[in-house]
This record gives sequence, structure tokens and C-alpha cells, in this order.
Amino acid sequence: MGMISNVGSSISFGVCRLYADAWTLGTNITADLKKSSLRDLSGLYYQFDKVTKWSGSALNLFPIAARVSGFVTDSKGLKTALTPITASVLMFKDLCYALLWIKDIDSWMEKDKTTGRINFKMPAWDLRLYTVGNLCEFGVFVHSYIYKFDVCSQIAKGMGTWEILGVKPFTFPVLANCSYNPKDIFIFAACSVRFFPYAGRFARLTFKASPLNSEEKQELKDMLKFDQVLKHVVCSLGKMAIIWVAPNHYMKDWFPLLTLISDSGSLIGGVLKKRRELEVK
Amino acid sequence: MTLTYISRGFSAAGGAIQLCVDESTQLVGNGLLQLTKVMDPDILQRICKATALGIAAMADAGCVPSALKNFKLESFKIVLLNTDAGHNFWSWFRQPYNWFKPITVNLVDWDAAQNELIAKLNAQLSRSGAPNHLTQAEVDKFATDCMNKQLEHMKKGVNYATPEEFKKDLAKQLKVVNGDSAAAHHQPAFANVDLADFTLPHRNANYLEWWTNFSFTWVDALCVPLYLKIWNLDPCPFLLGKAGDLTLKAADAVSLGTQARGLGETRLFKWVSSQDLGNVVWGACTAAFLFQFLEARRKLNDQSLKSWQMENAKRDAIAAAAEAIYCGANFLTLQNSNSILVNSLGVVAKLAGVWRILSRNDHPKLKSTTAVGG
Repeated sequence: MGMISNVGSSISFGVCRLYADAWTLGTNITADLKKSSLRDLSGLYYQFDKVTKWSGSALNLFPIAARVSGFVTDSKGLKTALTPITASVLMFKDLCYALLWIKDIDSWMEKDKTTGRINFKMPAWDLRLYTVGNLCEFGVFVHSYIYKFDVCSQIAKGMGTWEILGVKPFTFPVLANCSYNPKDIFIFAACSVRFFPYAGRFARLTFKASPLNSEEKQELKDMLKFDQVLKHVVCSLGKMAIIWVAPNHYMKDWFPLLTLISDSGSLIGGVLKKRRELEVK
Repeated sequence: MTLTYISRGFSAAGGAIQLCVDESTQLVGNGLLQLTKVMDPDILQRICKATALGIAAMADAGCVPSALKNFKLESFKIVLLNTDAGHNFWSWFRQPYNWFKPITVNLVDWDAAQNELIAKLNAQLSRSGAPNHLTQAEVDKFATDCMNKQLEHMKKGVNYATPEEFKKDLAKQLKVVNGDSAAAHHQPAFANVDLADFTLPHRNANYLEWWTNFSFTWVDALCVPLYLKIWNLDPCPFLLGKAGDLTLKAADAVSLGTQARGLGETRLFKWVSSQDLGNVVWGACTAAFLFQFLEARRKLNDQSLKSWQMENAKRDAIAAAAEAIYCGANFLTLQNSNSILVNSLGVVAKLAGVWRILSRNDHPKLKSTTAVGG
């Protein structure tokens, strides 16, 4: 009996708190939107690596939008017309993404301002996985645009046929990407590391069967900041979904839409981060 | 006996190895931290362009080193040129900020602003009537700390539209420095300093700087239709050399050709229809870098400038001259007849640009001066 009442109260508490959470998130988003300025616009230029991918997927989205709205009947022609610009944008993206590991260096070391010596440090797990993934991306870039390593091609070929106990592991959804884009598995892991602890903590706080104390209230408030939600939920889930559906040809039409959502999310998150950096605290 | 010598030898060798490892990791770490500057779009764009032009010049001259024979230089060049084009295309994002926020860190007279803040603080202290046990040096130190904080803040790339905006941030800095209880100068008298009649001493951009900004605005604005046109007509114009292999006119609305032709039907604007947009952009670039060179040249004759500003002006003059020569060569369409020379000029110009950005001196920190009275 006691257990049942506990479940009931946690549900009733949870429903009330979900309303409050939605309200907090909404006010946070409106507050961030109200503060938007010209500096954020110029911040977009400095987030160029995200702008490229976002614009590429937006261009891919044109044909889908055209077909859904019925405004343009010849969506194939439109897509063909946009192919050059898409190809160009994606080529721009390739180099920017290959160099992303350079951005991660800051999270591994910092310079002591007084002595001028470098102190190495261990970043959080998601950043570690991101660094390895970005290094893989750099390798793929070198392989595809500068110098072809025959060993890598053979390994990639062998992966598809490799069998263990009658199961081919590299034909499973996420692992299948390994043969052509080994970055994906690390990004998938990093996004899981970001999403699941966040979601678990959120659920535990929301469906707690007793009133929250002030620390927990503050924690919940901090979790519901716009950039936190973008980073831990929208971008992480979006990227995981992209990696999951990437080799699936039936889901091909959804791919640009998912890319658009996750990349716009990370673009806005990056702009917000830049804004926080440039604010007087 | 021998054992102790051996163990001592080992420990000495171990110490030497540890020192070597330590120094080499420091060296590698420093190098990697220097590398992070590459992700600055201005530097990345120039490096891409320089490398691509270098590859093109080597290929034209027929002197590709045999070690590079197995490398896919051509596809690498296309990616580099696309990256450069992408940066040119997106650079209009930062233009509105420059138009509407004209007060940059270099246009503020920091020494005068520091003196004015010290005068304000002294007036505040005498007005509050509280027993004043602060020496002039302490007030001075507080003002200098606040101004240095604001200077560091603006160096990150923060501009202001009006002195009022500057004042708002400065008031916040005063509160931050005063609230920092670890510092010695935590004073209740500084909790609410009245900055109402603080006039920010700053100059406006002079006419050469204005013309430079104006030209660059046009370059950024014209790059949008230019690259849309290039991308629509030809997927790899840089590889194929000539448009026309793949002509798709579905998104022709973005190209300015039809508009120019329409405008050219009027007699007054007949010349418009015969212009090449790419050439116009090269011309605007040449003008912009020429203005920049003239401004740097003017600064070199200015005796009132400090040594760090002089060094900047020297580098500006060299890099802007190199860029102006390269853009001018392209504007005069020497690219077709003398591509090796023009591409080599481009490599020199872009590397000079990178050198200028990397070695630019920032405004040094302000020093506290007790010479100023209230």
C-alpha cells in the first residue's frame, strides 16, 4: 500500500513539476531570445564549422519542402540545380570538420599565466571521445583528399565480412558506419555520455515523491537553461539519430531534417556560449 | 661501492631522461596551443588560399617534387579553394556588427579615460563625506584595475555603439573589481560610483580607415552573389577552368546578370552590363588594401604614436602592399597570361597576411600613475 501511494505521489508531483519545467524552459528561451544582438550575428561567422553543415542540410531540405508543399512539382530538377552549391558547401565542411581536433586541444591543456608552463589535464568523458572522433575525421580527410592509404581501405573492406559466432557485428546500425566513417561510433558514445546521465538526473528530480530542497531546485533550474537543453538533449539525440539512420536508405529523406535540427541546435548553443564568454560577469 | 655508483648513475640518467621528456612535452604542448590559432577564420582562410595557390603555381611551373607524386594534390587544391570561397561567402555575417558598433578598442584613448575615471573617483570620495583614509595611490590602483579589466574585455572583440554602452559595462567592471574581496581595495565608497557625466575619450575613424571599411563592406556584400553565381554555373570552376560544362539555370534569380542586362538598357548605365562581377570584387579588394596601405604609411610618419603602434603600422604596410599588388594583378586580369607569377604573388600576400595577424601587438596594460590629482 505504501509503495502504491509512493508511486502515485511521485506521478502527481512529476506532472506538476513537468508543467513548471516547461514554464522555466520557456522563460529561459524567451530571455535568451530577447538578449540577441548584432554580436551574436558576427558570432555566427566564428561558428563557421557549424554554419556549413547546417546550410548544406538546409539546401538538401529544399526538395523535401518543395515536395511536401506541392509548390514546385519538379523537385528533382530543383535538387539537381542545387547540387553544385551543396557539393561546394559540403567540401567547405570537410576541411573545417577535419580541423576540429585543433579546437579540442584547449580542453586537454592550459597555459599557466605566471610561469608560462603547460599543464596537461584530463577532460570529461564526452570531450575525450569527441577528440578521438575528430582525429578519426582528420584521418578520413587525409585518406580521401590527400593521400590514399591502402591498408585503411583493406581494413575497411575486411570489416564488413568479419564474422564472430555467426554474427557480422559491422552490419549493425551504429557499427556499420565504422567502415567509412570511424568518427561516428565515438560521437555516438559521447552523445550517450551526455544524454543518459542528464535524462536520468532530470527524471529523478522531476518524479521525486517529496518536495525538492533549495539545492535540488537550483540544480533543476540550471539543467533547464536553453544551452544545456540544446547540448544534452537536442544535439545529442539528433546526432545519435543521424548516426543510427545514416546507412539506412529508407530513412534518407529524414537525414537532412535531422541534420538541420541538430546542427541548428549546436549553432545556437555555440552562439550562446560565445555570448556568455563576452559578457561582463 | 660499485653498486652505489651504478645506482647514482641510474638516478642521474633517470633525472636527465625525465628532464628531456618534460621539456619535450612542454615544447609539443606549446606548439599545439599555437596551432589552435589556425581555427581563427581569418587565418584559416589565408592559409588555405596560400596553399592552394602554391599547389597551382607548382603545377603550372611543372616542378612538383617527386616525393609528392603519389599525393592527390588536385583534389586537395579544390577543397582548399572551396574553404576559401566559403569563408568569403559567410564573412558578411560580421558586417552589421562593424557598421552599428563603431567604437573599437583602438579608437578609445585609454590613458585619457583612465585619468577621467580617477577624477570621477576622487570627486565621489569627496562628495560622500565619509572619513577618507584612502591614499591617492590606492584610488589610482583601483581605477587602473577597472580600466585594465575593461580593456581586456574589449580586446576579445567587443565594440560599442555609443559611450553610454561603454559606461554600462564599465560600471559593471567597477562593481566586479570592488566586490573582489581578495583584492586589497575593497571599499564601500566605490560600491556605487556615479558615472553619469563620464565622457568617453575616443576618436572617430579617420577618412582612410573609413574608406578601407567601406571597400571591405562592398567586397563582403558582392561576394554573396558572386559565389552564388559561381556555384550555380559550375560545381568545380577552379578545376575545370571554364564554365559551361554543366550549365544549370534553374536558380538564375540569384545571379545578377539579368538585372545588369536590364539596367544596361538605359543609356546612362550601358557600361553596367559589360562588367564582370568577379573583376569588380577584385577591384574593390585592391582599393581596400591600397587605403589600408596609405593609412599605415600615414601612421609611420606620425611621431605621436608609440613603439607598439609603429611596429603594427610597419607590418600593416608590408602586408597590405603585398595584398594590393596581388589583387591589382588579378584586377588587371594578368592571371591568364602569367599565372605562375600571379599565384606566387598570392602565396606571398596571404602568408604576409597571416604573419601580420599572428604578430599583431595588442594595446598594452595600463600602468597606474599617481601624477593625476582630483
